[in-house]
Amino acid sequence: MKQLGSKLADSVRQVKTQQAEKEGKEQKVQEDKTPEPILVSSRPEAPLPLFTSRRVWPD
Amino acid sequence: MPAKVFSITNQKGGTGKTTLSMNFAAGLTRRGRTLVIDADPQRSAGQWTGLASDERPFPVSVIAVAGNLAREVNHFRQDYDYIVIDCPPTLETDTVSLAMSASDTMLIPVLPSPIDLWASVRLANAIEQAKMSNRELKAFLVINQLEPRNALSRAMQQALEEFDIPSLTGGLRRRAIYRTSAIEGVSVFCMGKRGEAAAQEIESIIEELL
Ligand SMILES: Nc1ncnc2c1ncn2[C@@H]1O[C@H](COP(=O)(O)OP(=O)(O)O)[C@@H](O)[C@H]1O
Ligand SMILES: [Mg+2]
Repeated sequence: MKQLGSKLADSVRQVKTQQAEKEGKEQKVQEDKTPEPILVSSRPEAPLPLFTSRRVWPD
Repeated sequence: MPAKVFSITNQKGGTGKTTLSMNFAAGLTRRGRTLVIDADPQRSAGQWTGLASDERPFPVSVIAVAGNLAREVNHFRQDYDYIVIDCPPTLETDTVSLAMSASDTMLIPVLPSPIDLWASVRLANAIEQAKMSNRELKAFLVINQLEPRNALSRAMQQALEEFDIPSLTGGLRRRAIYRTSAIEGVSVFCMGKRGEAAAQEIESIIEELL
């Protein structure tokens, strides 16, 4: 019971953070008028794909 | 004294805006002259009073407003003690921002479900912004369709503390009478013994707010 309450509260905190980030981004886009691509990831914890130096500059 | 203006809002549909608007207004009219403004293009509030019989009309007049809501509210402010605005389920038109600029109090019915809670985050932010121009604006979350034996319902209190907007102590339980009273075009105050518990809930909300 208590656990469910804190899980629910955690989920609200997460949505608040997401919303704040989204609003911050929208404001920034408005400020410098350079629309940024919006990254939508279902796994925000997954690292962004990086090209290794080997792939960029093959021997 | 100009009317005290309450807006019932949530950008999600089905959270109980119209149900709360109509019963809250029916409770308020026992205290002073009350008007419901139906600002939702779905016109559910108007349909509700349309179902009332001639012998037992809904005790509050409902007017539908499609144009500038703030101007209409100002028009009626001197003639009533209480105005209740049933808002549309959207933040994308300017209706809700006009309602926020014209209101004293925003009431936000929220269902005891995660998705409904998450949706309220954006509304809470919009209200915080509206407070910059309408400094006296108050806002409260109202839990609707509470089921005391349901674990999520009981877990709500903790989650609601995450919001910058306070919640009312009184909420609405999930009760069939809220639905059946609508079929007859009346409020829970007209349902005799069957409506007593619901009427008491609405009364508590009014007492908390006035
Ligand atoms: N406390 C409650 N108990 C039982 N049914 C309810 C309750 N509140 C609302 N309902 C029902 O839930 C549905 C959605 O309510 P409604 O007031 O139309 O929401 P909204 O205006 O936000 O779309 C309706 O069928 C209504 O009768
Ligand atoms: Mg409605």
